[in-house]
Order: sequence, then structure tokens, then C-alpha cells
Amino acid sequence: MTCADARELLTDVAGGELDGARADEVREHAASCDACGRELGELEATVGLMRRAGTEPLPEGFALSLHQALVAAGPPRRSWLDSVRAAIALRPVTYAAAAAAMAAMLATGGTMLIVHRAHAPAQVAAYQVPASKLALVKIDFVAEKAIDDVAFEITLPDGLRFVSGGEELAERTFRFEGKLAAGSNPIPIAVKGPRAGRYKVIAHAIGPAIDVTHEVVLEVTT
Amino acid sequence: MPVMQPPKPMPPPMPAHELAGLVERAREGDVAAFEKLIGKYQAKVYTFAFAFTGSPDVAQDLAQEALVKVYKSLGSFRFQSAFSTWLYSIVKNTYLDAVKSRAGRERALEEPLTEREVADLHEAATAEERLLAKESRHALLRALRQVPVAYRTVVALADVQGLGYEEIAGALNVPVGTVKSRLKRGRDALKDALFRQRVQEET
Repeated sequence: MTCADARELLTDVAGGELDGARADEVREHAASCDACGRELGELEATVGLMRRAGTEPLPEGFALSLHQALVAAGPPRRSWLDSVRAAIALRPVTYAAAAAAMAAMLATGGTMLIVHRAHAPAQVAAYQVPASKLALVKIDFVAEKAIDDVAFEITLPDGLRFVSGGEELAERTFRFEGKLAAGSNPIPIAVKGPRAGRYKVIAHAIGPAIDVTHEVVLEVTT
Repeated sequence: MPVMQPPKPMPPPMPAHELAGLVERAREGDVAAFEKLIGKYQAKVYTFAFAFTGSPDVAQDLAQEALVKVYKSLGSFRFQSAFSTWLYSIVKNTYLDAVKSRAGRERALEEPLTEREVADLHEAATAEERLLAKESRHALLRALRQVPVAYRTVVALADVQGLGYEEIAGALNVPVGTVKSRLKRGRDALKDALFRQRVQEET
């Protein structure tokens, strides 16, 4: 083993992340090389010190001060996913609230409004949105009469992410249960696509009295 | 050669149903439930803040600011990652924002260790005690502040907080390979900060 090979692995050996035969080779080299031996010793001392640093005791009054700050901050912000879930579950009472939340997002995000009507036969609608923008996709299930017991499922392809509270979410599928009112039932979702391309958003509404699938194509442009 | 200390054992994770219940109550504005949820992380978050700022007063403000952000953001926790990973991602962002906005104050605090502090740390490195004395811990955390912030974050999460590669990658939203390379560079930089003085004296 050369010094250059050993130097690449010294920190892994010192931290215990590398063990077995490869680590033994590094240690053998360090034992016969003053420079690498010293480097390994210093790295082991450094890692050892950090791991023994322990936790700093909380300053006096920390808990009380934090408590006051939390109370003053008010309750957590609701995510848009929760808002949609609540709007669907409580429709039509909170319909106006959901619409207001959507309008706020439009006002702040430079977003694009996309409407896809569910009463149309299965068709693909395509829209363009720049990669730098948050796209507000509004999927509208239009029902002739009120329908209870509907399971909704919205799935994003690789390359698109749900956005909530300014953060991109790791999950690709969003499921929730609710009901459809007679007339328009818009479901707003905020998504972002960092790379250019065409992406298909699929939305299902499934229940004893309904089985509808809709697709919206988003073309993300550079 | 100093004896390697094993990583600190992590406390057992909270049962999933208990975590979900506390998150649900906290989301509705139950401050007591939130305080129970973050109970075991408070001191860790404060220590992490200390490693970033080197000042107890600034660390207290920063740790509280970060924990309030965690509370306000609870609506976006989706249970798809460990709660600790999600919490650290918010704490880390708060600290990095503070480093940017308080860059002048940050630089002012970057004082090299005194010869006495370096000597004490070298002595502590070979001591038998499991935990460092307060003075050595403070000197060590000050030395950590001389490490560039991207590397400092990873070293603090790995070696002080005891998180694994995957957890750090999740908290920082970077690939595991990036965590490994930053940890290597961070440890090298900290080692230089701790041992540079001795090397300079010898050369």
C-alpha cells in the first residue's frame, strides 16, 4: 500500500467506518510509515475527542424560555395536504377556505393555474411550466350529484415532487378519503419539476358510485 | 496512540404510535406534546448550535429559533423519514441561514485556540475519562468553528450527535457519498486545527 492509498482511507479507519482486511492493510502501512502513522494517530485523537465531547448541558431557563417562544409562535402551519384533506372531508363548508388558500399560493408563488375537468372523457391535457416555478395544478372532478365514500389518489411520475410549506416532499403518491359535492370539486396540488421534460400526473377518484381516472401532462421547460 | 472510543449509544427511538400521537397533538397547537416530542433532542440541538456559534448566548437563541421552526413546520412531517432526520434537516437549515446572515459576527468569534487549550486537548485525547471536562469541550467546539461550515455540519452530526451516514444524508438532502467526502475533509480540517500548533512548534 502506498502513502497516497493510505491517506485516502485514514479517516475511515480512525472513525471505525472501515474495518476488516482493508483496515488492517492501512494500519500495517501506518505502523511502518512515520508520516502516515502520525496522521492516523492525530485523526484517531480528533475523532475520539469529538465522540467524547458529550452533550452541552442546557442553560438555566432554557426550557421556560423555549416554552414562551413556542406559545408566542402560535400553532403549527397546516400543510396544503392537510388543507385539501380537510376541505374534501368537510365540503362544502370549507370550500371557500380551500379556495382562499389556493389564491394565496397563486399570489405568492408566481404559479400557473391548470384546470382539468373530470366530466370530459379520458383525455390528456398538456400545459407548460418553467422549471424554476412552482406549478399549482388544479384537478377538478365535476359530479352530477353528491357522492359519498370516494377515495382519491394522486400520483406523480419520477421527476415531479409535491411541494408543501416550501419544501419538496419525498412521497410520490397522496391518498385521502372524502366525498364529492354536486358540481365542481377542484383539488389543488402544488408540484415542482427541476428538469425539463413531459410529466404525467394521474388522479383517481374511486368508490362504489365512481371510478374516474384523469391525467394531466405537465411540460417542464428550461 | 489514543484509544478509540466507541460512538455514544443513541437512546431508543420512541414507539411509532406514541410518536404519531404526540405529532398529532402538537400539530393542533398542544405545546406540552411538542415539548415531550423534542425532549431528548433539546440538549443535542443546543450542543449542535454551540458547535456552530462557539458562544453559549448565541447558541441558546439559535437553538430556540430552530426548535420553534420545527414546531411551526410540523404540518410537513410525513412520517416517511425518522423524526430525528426531519428535525435535523430543519435545525441545519436554521443554522446555515444564521451563519450567512451573521457572517460578520461569525468571523469575529473565530479565534484560534490558545497554546494552553491545545495542550489540554492533547492531554485529554489520551485521558481515560469517558467524557471531556467542560473546558476541553468548549475548546474543542471552538476549534470546530474553524472548519468550513459544510464540513463542520457533517462532523458535528456524525461525531458529536452520533448520526449515521444515511441519517445525515437524509437531513442534509445530499448523497451518502457526499457525506463521506465531507466527513473526511471536516475531520482533516479539525485535526489540522487541533494539531497545527504542535506541528508549527516542531518545524
